[in-house]
Amino acid sequence: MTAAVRCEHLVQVYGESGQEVTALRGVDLEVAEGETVSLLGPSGAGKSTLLWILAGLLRPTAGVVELHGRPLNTMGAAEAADMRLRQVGIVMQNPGRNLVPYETALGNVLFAQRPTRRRPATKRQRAADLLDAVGLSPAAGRQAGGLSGGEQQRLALAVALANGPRVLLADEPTSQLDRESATAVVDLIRAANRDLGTTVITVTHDALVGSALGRTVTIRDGRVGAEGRSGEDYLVVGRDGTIQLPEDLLDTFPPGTLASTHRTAEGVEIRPVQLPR
Amino acid sequence: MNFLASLATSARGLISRAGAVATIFVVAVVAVAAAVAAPAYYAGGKRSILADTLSASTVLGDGIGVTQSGPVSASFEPLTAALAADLGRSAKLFAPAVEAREATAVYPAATETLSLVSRTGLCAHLAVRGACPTAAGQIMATPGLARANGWELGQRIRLPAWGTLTLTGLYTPPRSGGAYWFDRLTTYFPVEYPLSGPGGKGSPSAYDALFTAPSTLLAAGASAQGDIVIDQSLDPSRVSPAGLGSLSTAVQAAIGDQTLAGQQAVVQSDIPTTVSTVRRAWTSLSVPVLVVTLELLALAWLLLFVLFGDASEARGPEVALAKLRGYSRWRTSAFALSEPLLLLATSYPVGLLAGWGVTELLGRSLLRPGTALGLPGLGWATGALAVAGGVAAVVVAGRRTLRRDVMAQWRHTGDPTARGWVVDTVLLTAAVAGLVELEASGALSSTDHPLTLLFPGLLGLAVAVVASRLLPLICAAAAALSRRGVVGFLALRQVARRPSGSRTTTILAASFALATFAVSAWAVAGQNYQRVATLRMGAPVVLDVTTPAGSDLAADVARADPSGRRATPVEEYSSNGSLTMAVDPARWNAIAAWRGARLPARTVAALNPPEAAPLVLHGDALRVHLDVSRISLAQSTLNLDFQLAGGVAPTPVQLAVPSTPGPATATVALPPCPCTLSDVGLSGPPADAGGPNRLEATVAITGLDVHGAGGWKPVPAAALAARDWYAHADGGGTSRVSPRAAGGLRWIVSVPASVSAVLSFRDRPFPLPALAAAPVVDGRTGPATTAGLDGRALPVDVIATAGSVPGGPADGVVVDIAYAQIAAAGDLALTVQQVWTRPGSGAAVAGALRAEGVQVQSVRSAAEATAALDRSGPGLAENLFLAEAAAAALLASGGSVLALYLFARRRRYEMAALASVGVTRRSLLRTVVSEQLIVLGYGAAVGMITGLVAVLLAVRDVPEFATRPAGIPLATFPSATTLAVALAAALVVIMAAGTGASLTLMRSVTASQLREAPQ
Repeated sequence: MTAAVRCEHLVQVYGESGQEVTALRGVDLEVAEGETVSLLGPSGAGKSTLLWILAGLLRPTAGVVELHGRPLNTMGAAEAADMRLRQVGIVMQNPGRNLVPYETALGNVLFAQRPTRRRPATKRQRAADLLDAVGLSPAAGRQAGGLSGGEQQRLALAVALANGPRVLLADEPTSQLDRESATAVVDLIRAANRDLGTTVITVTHDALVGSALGRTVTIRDGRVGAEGRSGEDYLVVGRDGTIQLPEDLLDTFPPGTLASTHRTAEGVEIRPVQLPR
Repeated sequence: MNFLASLATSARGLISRAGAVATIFVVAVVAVAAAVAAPAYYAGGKRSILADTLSASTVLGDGIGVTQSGPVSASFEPLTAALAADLGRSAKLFAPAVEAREATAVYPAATETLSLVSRTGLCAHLAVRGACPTAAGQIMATPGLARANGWELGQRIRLPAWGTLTLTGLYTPPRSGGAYWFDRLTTYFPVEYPLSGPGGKGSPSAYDALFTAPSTLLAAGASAQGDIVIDQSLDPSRVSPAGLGSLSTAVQAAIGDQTLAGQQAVVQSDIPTTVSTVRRAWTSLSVPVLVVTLELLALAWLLLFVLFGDASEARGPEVALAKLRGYSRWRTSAFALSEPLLLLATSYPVGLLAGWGVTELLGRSLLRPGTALGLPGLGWATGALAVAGGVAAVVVAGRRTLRRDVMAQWRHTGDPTARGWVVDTVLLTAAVAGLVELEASGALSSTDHPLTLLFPGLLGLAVAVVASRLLPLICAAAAALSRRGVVGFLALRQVARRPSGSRTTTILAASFALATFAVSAWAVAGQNYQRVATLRMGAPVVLDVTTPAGSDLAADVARADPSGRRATPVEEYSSNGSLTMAVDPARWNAIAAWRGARLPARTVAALNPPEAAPLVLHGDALRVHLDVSRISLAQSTLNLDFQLAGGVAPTPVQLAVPSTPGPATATVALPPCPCTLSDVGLSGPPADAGGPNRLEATVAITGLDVHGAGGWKPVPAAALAARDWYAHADGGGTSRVSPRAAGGLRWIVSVPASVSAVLSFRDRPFPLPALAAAPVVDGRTGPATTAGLDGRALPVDVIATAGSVPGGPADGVVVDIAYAQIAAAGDLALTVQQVWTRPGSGAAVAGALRAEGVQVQSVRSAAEATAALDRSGPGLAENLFLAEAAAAALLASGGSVLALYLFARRRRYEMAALASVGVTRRSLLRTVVSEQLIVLGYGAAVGMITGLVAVLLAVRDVPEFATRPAGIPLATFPSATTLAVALAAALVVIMAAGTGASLTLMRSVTASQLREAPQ
């Protein structure tokens, strides 16, 4: 079965020569179709960059990235736009960025469908269904700019799902929301996955989101450092053999600590080493 | 569906940005309106100039006259056919032809030769008591002629060759001319409209015509000789600019028509000259209109580019959203551009209407009243061109946003400053290249060059680009030095770091430079029009008059205005290079429109020095007592010039001088007296090839006797005092007079045989003192020669010169009217008579003059003349320049305020953040206001200063007249008050707008902005 998303040694460098910033340092990641993944990590770790690459908005500096087997590295702007239209739904971090503020809630969902060839009645029906699903039917005729933050984010989700995407990419979908609104949004994301089989990848700092999705991938310093599945966290060994210790172990292994490794029957043992002066 | 949905989205977008959209819409509308108005105004201006020129032209200037001498009963048909063939389609531009048959009839009972005339439509143009002649054998005459001859209505009058005619009516001559009478007033009504003074008794020019029906003249047969005449005037309502070229060609063809010449027909018309005048005036309007319109259009396009650029930037997130949602490039472009294109599409019809409205407004206030205005096809096209320019601005401005990828939009990456440099470099290069080209083409070094109007725009643009780049640097330096707290610092820092502000400054400064120059040029032109009109006319109000036969203009005016403060008489004779103006110096000096100080009293007195009273004789014969000492030529004669009352040409009386020495007496009959003896000439007989070629003589005039009712009476001896006679001679001769011990005077003459020696009675100065316009005498005082009122050479002594003499700024020579009339021996046939008055006195003086029997032909005012200059080609161009520059300044101001508002609006997040950390709203408001005022004030100030520099350098070269007036120093700088008021008003308006925009902006800054991403 083809993976929904596959990244292989993905590198992303921003800026110009002499002032370069490396956002991704060789990310390897595979997400199966129908899987729900939350990308965790500190600010500036490269989570959003990875998401934008997956959305076809950034072309990676090196490495391979595929969406349902289609390489995004070599994809032109028009092909990427078509991919976003037909296969990818995107929810950006700021609610205002997801919506045309002077359009109605209904108009925003229709706006996302406008390039498709569906019949107008079909589009309107789908828009109404989506608004109903996100609980915004009463607000269908209100301007998006006048909705509350929670309503805007729910509407953004409806817009992202307007064309029935196979992959939903969401960047901090619950930031700036109160707990109730955040829960509603997470429920909607899970419902989309459950009901439509949509693969979900979110970037989040929100533990609620992380715990609600099937898998967590922690990115630190431009690399995938850990993964969590079913409540259990695992380190991820990098292509060059590197591992990133969990932060709670850093008091034992402060930066600069020399360590020795020993193979054991269960695996590998790491010990801090104090060398004689 | 998609299209409608997109349209609906665009409409909602437009509504949501109503304020900004409205401003952009106004800019677009003004651009279209300007583009539409210019051709419409030009078309209206052409019609106005055409109508003005036609109304001011002479009869022949807008008409054509054909006169054929021969049998008065001849048919008109051959003439009309030939004329119609020559005129072709232009014939329909003329009013129906008036056909006249003109003959003479002798009234033997009074030995009068009278004009006998039939004229088509006559009865409709004369007030007739009795019946207008409609059948053969009927005539009508003036009451004066009837009274003089004792005719009564119904009387049968016998006129040899015409039979016995019945007097059916008495007509009143028309009070003024008109197209119907063409150039025949002086022919038909010589009593009221004398051509060269009252004609001799018995001649047709002494009596008004007898009018009759055509059948009377037709019945006379081929033996009756006279003229048949066709008069045709242009009908101004039928003449359009388009038909003028063919009209001129057709009339020229008629003038040179050999068929008509072969029929002994003379064709007269000055229409080709009128057409040339009109075309010159059109040319003086067309180029400035084009230049001015292009300047405004260019500015509007630049402004649209900036505004659409800012608007496009403001829509950047929406465009990025479209891309995020998978919109294709085409669809994204359509989404991004649909709003501004919808705006432009709407602006076209609205702009057309606005342009039409503006043209109506301008036309009603500036063009000749009644000028038809409309939207020519060119106006529709230029309006579309303006929209096309706007579309280009939209595409160029939107391109940046469309090409920016989503990430760049959200991260605010890219370097707009670098792109700004490119645009600025292009603008600066274009402006400098334009200035260099202007200089190279000679437009800046030659006066009255229409391309001068490009100078302020180009200079303003060049300076504005440089100044706009300096503003951020100045503000950065000021911010570094600022110790005035957060408000000043934030405002200065904001201006220093904002790249888009430079474009605002550029447009504002360039438009204000243009507006400052336009206001100045308009004000200067207004001053000059008033100055030129007044100086050319000579006084605020001028009446063109004709005095009745035997009347003296000065005396009539003195009676009409006993105060001497309201009216002054002026008799003018114009010759090549000079205009002799005979005036009452004291009245004239008080009433004439002097540009500076009036003449000093001593100059006025010097123009009118006291001289002997005229030597007036009453009687029917004169006896001259002579004592001839020697005379070289036998059959020499004394020629006595008598001036009769009423401006009749001098009547010479000749008497023989005895060729033998010794006392002698000669007696001659006098003309109808009282009469004034003005000159005594001594001349030899006609040249004899073999005889002496000089007249050498010593003759004493020892006494004069006049014969009257009481027999012979001696003229008082004082009349022959030598000091009261001025001896002179032309052609290298000498003529001296001296007292004679035994009484009388001795006259010693030595002149070539072909010329006369003259003794002139000193009833006027010799030579006449004169005030002359400096150019006519090269600024020198002293002896000079001008033309007298009789057209002959008149020696004058120029006692003073003036830079601009009222009435004849460059060519006027002013002399005393009484002395000038004497010098002309009363021959005033060729003079033009005027009465100058003070403002507001014209009607009263005209009424008083009419009561004196003076015919007032027209009343002209300097204000009307000023208005006429304002309606000339350059005047109309000046007004359009002002209107368009004002529109440009308003546009730029509105656009700049909007651009600043849009830019500041994008910083609402920042301001909300500052408010949340404790910066007070009052401080934020002051920051925004300061920021607006810095940019607006700087741009406006730079523009105004640049405009003033342009005024100093080039306003004198702006075309103000189709032909620059000579002898009148023109203003080259507007009045400080006008300028100060205009500039202050502009500054106040723009500052108020900036402050208002800031207040509006601050009302929308709320904490909820923090929920949005910073833009």
